[in-house]
Amino acid sequence: MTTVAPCFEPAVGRYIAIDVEGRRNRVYVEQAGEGIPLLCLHTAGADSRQYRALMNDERLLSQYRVIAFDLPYHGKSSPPEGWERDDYLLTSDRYVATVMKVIKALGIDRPIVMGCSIGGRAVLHLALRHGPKFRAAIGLQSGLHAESVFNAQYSDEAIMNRPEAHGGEMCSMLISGLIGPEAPHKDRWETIWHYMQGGPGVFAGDLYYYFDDGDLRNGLVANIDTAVCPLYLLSGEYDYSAPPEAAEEVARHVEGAKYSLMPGLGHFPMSEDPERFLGYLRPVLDEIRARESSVAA
Amino acid sequence: MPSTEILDALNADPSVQRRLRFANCVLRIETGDQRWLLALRDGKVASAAADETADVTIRIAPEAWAAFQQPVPPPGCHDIYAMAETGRADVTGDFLTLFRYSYVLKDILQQLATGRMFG
Repeated sequence: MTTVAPCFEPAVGRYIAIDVEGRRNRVYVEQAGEGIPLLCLHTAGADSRQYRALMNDERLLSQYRVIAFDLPYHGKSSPPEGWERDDYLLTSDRYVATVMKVIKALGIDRPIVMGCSIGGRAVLHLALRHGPKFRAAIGLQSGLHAESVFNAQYSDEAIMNRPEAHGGEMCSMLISGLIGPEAPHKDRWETIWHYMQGGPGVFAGDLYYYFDDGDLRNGLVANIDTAVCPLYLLSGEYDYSAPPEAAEEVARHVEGAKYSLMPGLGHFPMSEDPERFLGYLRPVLDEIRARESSVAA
Repeated sequence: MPSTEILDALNADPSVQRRLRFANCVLRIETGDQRWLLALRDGKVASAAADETADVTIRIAPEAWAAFQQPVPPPGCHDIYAMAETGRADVTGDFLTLFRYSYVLKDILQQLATGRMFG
């Protein structure tokens, strides 16, 4: 009898239980690699699969422990008990508390935190409120706030979740134009697929943080101490929701923040065109490692 | 009126067929002096009668339409929503209808501009 070794990818997924705002959440966490922890936050209405390419990049995994989790209600994470009676709304406090609870549950020490879109906003909140707990923060498609000419339609009781609409098709359609035109076909449609799988009201609930509650035009980001938590901002040029100008605005408000444009990419760099994105990410990670080494020395 | 080739290409596409199974609406697309009035009906894209009222009207700036036709369109001109969000296109009408059939709209625009499909 011949036995065949299983062809598993490097990532291993497990569940943790965390309490956030008094409610128990079963949260799915994936990780791969060894080294400096790199905690990755997904975009609104999506899940940790957006980081699938990083979880498979041998070079990255030889130096970093790449960790990604699904926010409650997203991906393989369950909503808390009683969800069926509530409208899901992501607030700044809830988002920050969730990330910090995940870090505590995993026992990871001073990770680099990297997030995209709402995650790109969250890294600002995290650096602001818990800077010493992070080695560095990387904001992808970050901005102090976001607006849309379709805001009235989005907020019209979340048009994508009306009973007469197909929520998955609607949510995915709303983001499909945010992908750069040269993204590989496979990765473009996988990114879109993730949005087709969101639960009812989840994308809209995340957009509450993106458009409303997470608004950072209050001057607070000036208090981010980049000597404690260096802040890097990477922005895809095809993103019209969190455009490069939005990241530039953040960089103007945070002394020491470093901003770079990512030509050819849109709103989902790590998912829509992973190889191109890794080309922009590696120098940032190298710089963070070099800084760590010099501090340690 | 779109060419027969364009309509045939759209209507031969399985995803267009699937998305239009229950469609019954009219889209007006305008850019410069070009006008298209299209019916999404009976599972197909067809030219609408000139006196039909559009459920959704899309007006695209000619410069943006020209840029959209480039092999790699510049930011802001690469997608109808990019154009709308950056002031290069104006979208009016029933947004539920618009959002329901936007994948087909994107296929229509790509066909009109480049002879390709969005997907």
